[in-house]
Amino acid sequence: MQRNIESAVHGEVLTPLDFKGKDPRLSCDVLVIGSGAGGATVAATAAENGKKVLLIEEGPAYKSSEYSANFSGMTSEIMRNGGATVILGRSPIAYLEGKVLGGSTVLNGGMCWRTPTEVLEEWEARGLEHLSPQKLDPYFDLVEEVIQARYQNVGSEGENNQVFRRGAEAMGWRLQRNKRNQVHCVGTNDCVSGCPTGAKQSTPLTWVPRLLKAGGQVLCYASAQKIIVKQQRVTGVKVRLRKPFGHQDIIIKANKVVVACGAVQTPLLLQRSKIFKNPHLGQHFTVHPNAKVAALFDHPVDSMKGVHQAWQCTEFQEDGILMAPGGVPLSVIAQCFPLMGAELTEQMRLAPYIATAGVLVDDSRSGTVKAGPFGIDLIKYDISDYDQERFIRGVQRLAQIYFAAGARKVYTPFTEIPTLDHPEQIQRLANVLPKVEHTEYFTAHLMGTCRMSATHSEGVVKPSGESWDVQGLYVADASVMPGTIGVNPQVTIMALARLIGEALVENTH
Amino acid sequence: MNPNFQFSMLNRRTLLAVSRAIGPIEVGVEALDIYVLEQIESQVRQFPRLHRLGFCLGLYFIELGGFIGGWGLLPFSLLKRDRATKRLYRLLHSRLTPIRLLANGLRVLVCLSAYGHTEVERWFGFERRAWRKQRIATRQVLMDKISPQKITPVPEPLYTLNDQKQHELLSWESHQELVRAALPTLIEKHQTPDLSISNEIESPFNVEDFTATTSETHVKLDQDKAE
Repeated sequence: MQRNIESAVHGEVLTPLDFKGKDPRLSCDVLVIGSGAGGATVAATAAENGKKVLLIEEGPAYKSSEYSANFSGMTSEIMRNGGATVILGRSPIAYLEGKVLGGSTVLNGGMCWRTPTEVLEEWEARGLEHLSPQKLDPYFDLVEEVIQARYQNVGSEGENNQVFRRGAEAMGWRLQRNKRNQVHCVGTNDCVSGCPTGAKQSTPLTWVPRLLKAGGQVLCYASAQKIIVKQQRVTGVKVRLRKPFGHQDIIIKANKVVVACGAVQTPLLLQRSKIFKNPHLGQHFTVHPNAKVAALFDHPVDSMKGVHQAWQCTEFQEDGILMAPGGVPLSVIAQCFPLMGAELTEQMRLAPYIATAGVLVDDSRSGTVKAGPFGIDLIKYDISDYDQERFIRGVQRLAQIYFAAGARKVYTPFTEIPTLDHPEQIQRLANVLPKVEHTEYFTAHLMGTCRMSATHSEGVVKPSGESWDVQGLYVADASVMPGTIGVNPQVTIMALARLIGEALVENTH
Repeated sequence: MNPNFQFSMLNRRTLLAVSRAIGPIEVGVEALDIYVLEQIESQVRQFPRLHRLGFCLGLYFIELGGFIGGWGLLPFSLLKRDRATKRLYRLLHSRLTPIRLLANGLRVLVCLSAYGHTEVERWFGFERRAWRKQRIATRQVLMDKISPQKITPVPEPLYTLNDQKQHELLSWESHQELVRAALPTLIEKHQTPDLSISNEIESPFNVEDFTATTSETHVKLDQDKAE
């Protein structure tokens, strides 16, 4: 089944090579920019409703079998800026963005959580009635069916997840099993660099085949440079056909353009296009900051073996704190320690006995994304003191979990107190109160730079996903979220994109 | 992005020295520093032009900045490894954010490449390539043998303990059993029945002495392993 889908996808994906020596004059009803969770979903929805759809992707298309075991090599190939992307602020926050067919769904952990009811009720209260829990439920059902959001195969979790589960159970805290978009995941734990078995149902295995089956087309190595607008109506996109075939700029004409490049690239593209001014464009940027915690056990944890993340501890979710294990490759474990050279080698000898996890804090503050001069992207986000307090509490609780599971040592993300050797030392974190500047953060959940709103004065896009300022221009990715959601956003993005896709089709009639 | 980008000779010298200062040269992998250099070069090719320029200027600063910063007269690439590591630590804890960012960025890039090298992974007990190969074979069997009869609706798992005996899906025994059971089908379909994949973690590290951190102990463990 899977092999057939993959060969179908890769037989039909266009590359600039298909236009070699020709002047490509492309036109379509709907041009979708970006093939991640939002773009692929909206493209498939429009194609299945009879529209002529072209989906363009800046990166290459990979088959599952082509994701190599060379982690640093894969980061160069499938991530933006070779994986070296950073949000600047009081402390830099590292993040990853997919630049490959499938976008960040190729790099994510595959967690499938519906938007929490209280978040949807808040959005509904802001006048977005179509986002009420009752109205979005059928969309969540459909998305989960399409991407095969299911619990892990029994026995595929691995010890990295089990020590976390045992610790949380010992503390008596609420645990929830992750649903993940997977078919027979066997715990390779290569989610971040592309699933080599094809188990993770990222968009090249789900929405993209649906798009192709419905007659849509996909063009890779095609980077959108500028949205073209005439009399406040979108007419097409200037696209640069890229590597490895040299550069060639073409214009693709389209009646509707859907921008789905993610919460960072979408506002940058719209700002660089200079087609409208909206005070909310690039604002309200939320990131769900994460901090890594590791723990040393006296038995092998072998974090390489088993699924990336099978459980989440939701005991403190009301406080905006989520804790979860996260198995990572050796080269990422090495980054958990602020060490170098011989000292790091010594530390890394313990790597098979080290478990890794993360604390996620739901943002209380937002940042900005701005297109600066000379092509510099100004991406700023400051962790607030309130969020830092919650980080400290979250790390304390994660340390409690690990000590309860039998850990001998816990490694924190704080340079002031890098290790805890005993449960009694946990309190030191509250006494010292590590500063934001001395904490290492990372994130994978970028949201909210073109937020959806009930009125023009409050956001960038209408409830239908269409821009308030330009007719025929839609946004369908994490940037339309009206606020932070506190859980992994993949299912939320797809549900919103499906809804926007349906609205786009209706508006065309 | 510039697919033809290459570091200057001086930048290459600096990066080789940086990779030796940060990376695990104790492992004894031949030409690990050159491997790290090539990996970082391929990553930097993906950077936007200004970021690339900033990165190269940063490397010049690391190489020659000791004189300006007052932390040493010798260029970085001429320092012995332990002194080079100390200088990088100093930069990592600098009060100036851009310097801290540069040192930390280099640390992350070198760790990503050096600790992702096949031989290094194996030395530290992570046989990732063999593990991937085994997992791909296991999943293939599951897809071929189990899925067609048992596609359950979401969110139910596809594989439960009722499908097999009470063993872990991740275990080597389970993999062997699954592959053996599917052997005729596999031969017929793929011609690749492979039961020879090693799944044992060869840790250089004794479980009893897991807290040992002195180099003497590790030398002894390495000798034991060699014997």
